[in-house]
Amino acid sequence: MQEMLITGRGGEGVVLASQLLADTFARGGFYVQSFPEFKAERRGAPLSAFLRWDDEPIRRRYKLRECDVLMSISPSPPPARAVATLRPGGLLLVNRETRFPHCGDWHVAHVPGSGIARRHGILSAEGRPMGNVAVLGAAVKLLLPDGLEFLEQAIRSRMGAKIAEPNVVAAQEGYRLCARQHTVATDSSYEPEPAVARPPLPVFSASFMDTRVNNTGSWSLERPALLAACNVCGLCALFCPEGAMRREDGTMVIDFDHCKGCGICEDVCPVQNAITMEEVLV
Amino acid sequence: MSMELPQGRTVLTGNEAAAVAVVLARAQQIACYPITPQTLIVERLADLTAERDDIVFANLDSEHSMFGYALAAERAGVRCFAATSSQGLLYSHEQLHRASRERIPLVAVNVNRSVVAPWSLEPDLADSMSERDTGWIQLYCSSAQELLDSILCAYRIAEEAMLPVLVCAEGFLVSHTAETVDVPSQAAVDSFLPPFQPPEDWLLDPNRPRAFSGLPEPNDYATYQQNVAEAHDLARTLIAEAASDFSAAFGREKVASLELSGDPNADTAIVAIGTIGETARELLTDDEPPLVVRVHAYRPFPGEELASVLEHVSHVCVIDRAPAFGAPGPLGEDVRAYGVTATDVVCGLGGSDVTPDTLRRALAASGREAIYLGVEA
Repeated sequence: MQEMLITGRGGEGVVLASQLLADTFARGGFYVQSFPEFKAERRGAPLSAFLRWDDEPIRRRYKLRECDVLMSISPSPPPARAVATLRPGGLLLVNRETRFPHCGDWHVAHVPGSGIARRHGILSAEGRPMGNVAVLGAAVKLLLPDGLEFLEQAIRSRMGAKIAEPNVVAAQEGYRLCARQHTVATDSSYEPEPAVARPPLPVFSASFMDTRVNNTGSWSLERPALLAACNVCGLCALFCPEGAMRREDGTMVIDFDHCKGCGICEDVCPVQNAITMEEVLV
Repeated sequence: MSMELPQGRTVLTGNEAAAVAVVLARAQQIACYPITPQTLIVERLADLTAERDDIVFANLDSEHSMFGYALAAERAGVRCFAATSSQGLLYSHEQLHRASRERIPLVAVNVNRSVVAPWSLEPDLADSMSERDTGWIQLYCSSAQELLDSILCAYRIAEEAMLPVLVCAEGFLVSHTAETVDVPSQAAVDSFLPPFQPPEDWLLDPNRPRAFSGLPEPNDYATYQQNVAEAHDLARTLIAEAASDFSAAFGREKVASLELSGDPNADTAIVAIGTIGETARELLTDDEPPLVVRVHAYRPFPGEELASVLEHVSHVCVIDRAPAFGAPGPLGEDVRAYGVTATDVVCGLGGSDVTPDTLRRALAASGREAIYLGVEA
């Protein structure tokens, strides 16, 4: 039995990717099992899906603790806790234009999934490239090299014709552009490095005693950054739907544990260059 | 969006498999009220029935109305379906009692989800186990395939026993898990499941106006209850017959009341229900593998059969995925009621993961009171 963990964010098509790949393996003659990890989180929240495939019917029913393959749908680096679940000798497949700079006791392959999606106009409602199907093309190349046709069939059976066709092309391109990397050294202390130093992303935890400890800030795709021009007028705090901004000791303070990155603060800010929205890494 | 009925070997989630089964069973009225994690059943049924004028798809304003609508439509001689989860099932509680004593053979799916408080969308069996004494037959499924197959069997069992059947499957673990499923042909289903033909004198008939379930004398009231108890006794046989006919007709094994895996002479046994009964099979490759007994039919409870299977087992561990405060868990209580000495372990609550290691820890435990496992700081 092979076990795969798929990571990404709500809205990036993580669950659909796991179902398409399950369908692909099933068409290739395997028994499959694909399921998402659901929490009380929504669009933008980090989430995972699991996939198992085997020659025999699969009867185990619990979440993956370890995996043979980790597939990262997001263009941001895969979370360290997910990489830690890779079995020695496993495969890490990332959505990246360039060589993945980290290594460990696993094989690495990268595919420019988001770039492919952007080229073919496969975009989310917010205009972000949906790289999921292109990454699947790469996964099929690595795991079921004769299965591209099955992936195409799966895409066509699960998407309307208008959406299916560009996705089929994206899958073919992902298959072609997937690059296997050679692992050069062992570095098990993988930590994704953000391009810009930012406060760490909060970990979502729920409490029924006090909802203030529910760190919904982990759902944000973007977060505001205050720039020098901010005159601390406090208008953003007035409009913030999360109550995540406040004036304190002559500056604005942002509560990133609860900021969902909606960008209303940036919209209502009357001052030029006082707030900018920055991408958040998972 | 209309959707074609899938055919042959395909990949479906549990919810999709349930929707497909309902259409294959030729349900004529579908009463709906969506709730997580059942929602996809409603959505897929809407897709599958969009362009069919032989199936009425009704959105109701609550689960209580949904059951009221479905029970009345059944009484008019129409095969119906309803589905819910968790709070929705609990909200329908009084309708559930009515269904069994009025002998309405409704088939409903309950996608198991834990019950507030606190709020959770994740699975345990507290919802349907809270309804175990309402007189419904309860079948617990552990895969999309078993859910599809059991819905087909459920219509036959329900209409032969004139009892409602609740087909249960855990949320997410079954409902949202996409897996390999064999979808039977409509022709094969039609020859397995005859059309709904209830007794004439049971039907609503505008030419013969009368009241149902009016205020009977105490003895008559008691007779209603006793009739349901007797129907449950009969249903044990009907469940076995339906499974045996199903296996022959469709060429794949259909579990009747209990599924046994491993050595029947093993010294220890795990008795579980739902997906935990599947995961427990991973212990069959251990050095000292237990006998694994998965309970599929929970009501009527296959107590005699279970007691006979466990007669020579020295250590029986019952796994409950539902709490019963101040007493052993529901399944543990039932197993003990048939004279089996058993340790009852409660785990998997609110969707907490049950792995082979959880079950090994459960097997190592013993005691008279329910033991709660898997509660981590």
